[in-house]
Amino acid sequence: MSWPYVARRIAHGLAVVVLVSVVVFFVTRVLGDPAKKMLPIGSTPEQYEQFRERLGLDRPIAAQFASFLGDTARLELGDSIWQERPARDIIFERLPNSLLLLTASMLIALAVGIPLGLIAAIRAGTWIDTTTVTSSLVALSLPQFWFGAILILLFAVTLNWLPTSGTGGIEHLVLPALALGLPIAGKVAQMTRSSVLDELQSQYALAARAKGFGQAYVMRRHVLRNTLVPLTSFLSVEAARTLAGASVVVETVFAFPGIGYLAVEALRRDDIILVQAIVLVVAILVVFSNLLFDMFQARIDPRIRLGGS
Amino acid sequence: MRFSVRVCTVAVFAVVAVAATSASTTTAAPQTSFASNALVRIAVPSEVPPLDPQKRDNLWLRIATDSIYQPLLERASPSGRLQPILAETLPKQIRPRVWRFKLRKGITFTNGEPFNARAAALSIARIVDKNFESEWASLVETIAGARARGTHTVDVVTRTPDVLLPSRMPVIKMVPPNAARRDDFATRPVGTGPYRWVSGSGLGPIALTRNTRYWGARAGLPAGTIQRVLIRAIPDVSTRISALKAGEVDLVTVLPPDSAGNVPKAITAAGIENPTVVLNSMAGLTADVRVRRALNYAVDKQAIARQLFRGYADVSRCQGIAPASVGYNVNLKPYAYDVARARQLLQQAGAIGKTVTLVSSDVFTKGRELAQVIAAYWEAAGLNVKVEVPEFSAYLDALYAKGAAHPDGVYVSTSTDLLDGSAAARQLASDGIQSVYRNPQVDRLFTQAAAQGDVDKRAAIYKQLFSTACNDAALLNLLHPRDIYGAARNLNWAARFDSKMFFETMTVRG
Repeated sequence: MSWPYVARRIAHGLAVVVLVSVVVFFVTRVLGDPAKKMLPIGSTPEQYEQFRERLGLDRPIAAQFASFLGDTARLELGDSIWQERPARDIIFERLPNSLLLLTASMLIALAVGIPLGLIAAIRAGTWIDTTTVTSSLVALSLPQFWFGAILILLFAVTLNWLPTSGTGGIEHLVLPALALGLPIAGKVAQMTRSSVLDELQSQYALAARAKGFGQAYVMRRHVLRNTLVPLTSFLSVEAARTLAGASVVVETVFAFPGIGYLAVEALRRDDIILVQAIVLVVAILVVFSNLLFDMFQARIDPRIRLGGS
Repeated sequence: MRFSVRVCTVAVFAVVAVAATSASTTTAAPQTSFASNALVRIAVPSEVPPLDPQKRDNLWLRIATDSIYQPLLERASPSGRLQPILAETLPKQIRPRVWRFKLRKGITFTNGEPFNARAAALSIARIVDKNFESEWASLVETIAGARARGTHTVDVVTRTPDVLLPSRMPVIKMVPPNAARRDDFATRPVGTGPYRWVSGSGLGPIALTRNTRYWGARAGLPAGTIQRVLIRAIPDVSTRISALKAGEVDLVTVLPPDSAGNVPKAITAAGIENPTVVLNSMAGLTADVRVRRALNYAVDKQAIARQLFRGYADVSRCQGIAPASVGYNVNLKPYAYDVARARQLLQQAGAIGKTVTLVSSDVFTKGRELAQVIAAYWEAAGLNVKVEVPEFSAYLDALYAKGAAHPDGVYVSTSTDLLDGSAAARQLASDGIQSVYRNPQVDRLFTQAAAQGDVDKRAAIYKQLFSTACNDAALLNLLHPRDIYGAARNLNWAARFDSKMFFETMTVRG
């Protein structure tokens, strides 16, 4: 992978992060008065003014924006209004939980989805294929908040095998990871199946079979590797979508203390400082994960490296 | 998509849906749903803010700190009567702006600091200090400060003569002067109560343990039988209920009425919330008293209590205060549900077919649903109703607007924090922050009540004030929703009217 390629990707990522931060800055200030949202009903006008002054919200928007840009460049993310301590500290306390959940859910998605997709492709047109495709369609169609609630009712309340919520040992990770991972496994299975079927029909695969190589050899040496490329692209998008979206719902349902749950609490309290900080950190993570996936793709697909040069 | 795949997919979804419906409607609680004296676990819907009891007006914070910190006076439940806690007796108003409190002796905070007049005076000065920015400020704004007179007498000084000063004291928790100056005070609470903090603050579970040196046992106050308490946040209500049924928690708070039948044991209490529609008496269609009375007659409050709140609400008696409050008029009757009468009044006022605007907010429990239900009733009476549920700060702008800028109706749920008719009366007085009603007689009664120190006489004035406002249909008073909790079968606890939770009053059977 060429350094100009990497540099271009990093610059692109930084631009995305800055743009996202700017949008969040203006949206949190334009959509209503934070002082009115945060103070109890019945607070006096003096209290509102004092609150605005303390947060610098009484300054012109341009001055606020200039301070915001300067602070963000130094990674000074401000103090959470609700928790009264640095937003950065709060986020980094919770971030490992989210990353752990994301990793576990992706592993489940791959461990379940790839074998299912492979089986469906190898047995294309049979009842095994029908069953596998149906299962994957059902899985990817499940709304995660509902699926999470069903998992809790079944495994925690009825069977009493796993805890309903919270954090602790690995048993607390199982249900949230399943709620996040199984719908993604459905998509992975679909993608793997169609990708493998395409590769099996490609000329190099047919030529290998014509030469007398067995199905298993062709799959192992040729097909699977080529399947990884679109799968990696897909996983890159899913990881970003999960981190910035689906995990919010699942963490809230399971009271799993990650940054998704934190974002919900911050939004509920109109803690604009913490909301801004979370969005910035998530944007950085999404950009970084995209970069990692891109680098991995370039590693396994020479066409990308050569194209980058 | 192939036909066979389509059929299989639909069939699988059907099976999953039936199974899920069966699982979700089960009401049988497993045998694990039992509490123990060693540990009671409580689930709240939201993370608790930093544990400074004087800083934030937050229900979860109060649950976490009400058994750690104590005030000079507290309300008994269910009567609502003030009783001395850290004070020895009820205070005396020795001068128009000075109330004198005699304090109990021999009490220390759990860090060893003595509770005395200096601690009390500093606690009061701290919460009223504008630079401290307490969210309780509006309830204690009449207090100028406090002075220690000797070791166990403290004088609380008000800015103007304030007959409600004793009612404000349950809000002010006593804090240790030295510890309160530390930066980490909000993360390491220290009080005089029957429980003390062990671990957790801000985000994450909070653990408390019995204060084995609690002074209250000597004074005959409950000292608590439960050894440890754990409070944690479970935001999703279905997960909270599942945790209760699975035996992971013993008490869950803030249950919606629909879920009360789905827990091992439901505990309810009359709350202090007052859902109300403020009607604009000064401009627009609702300036006509006939229209306002019609809007009251048109709404079937009993049906709303039965259907929307599943019976867990009591119809308001045409006044915006909780029944336990000073000034509550038990003789006042709500406007009966009478659509014919409503139509007749609207016809007399020439309002049939005209449009009124009703503004509400999602911030309130069932705020949107109530607005839609009320709108449906008003439309059945012959009006057109435009319901708006804007973003919260826009909603507040509507609520505080005056004159023609105020919508015809604004839904608000007020809270009778001081258990006194003063706040509801203020809502009706001309200079009230939410008032769009002008009645010189009500203003006169409000001024008289504010100066009346005798509780019974003040109550009589409030009763007359609310009766006048009811006749004028200044508001559409709706209901008093009950607070609903879910509990383990063997947890005994009587919920309080003010949503406070004192762990020392909980016991576990068996």
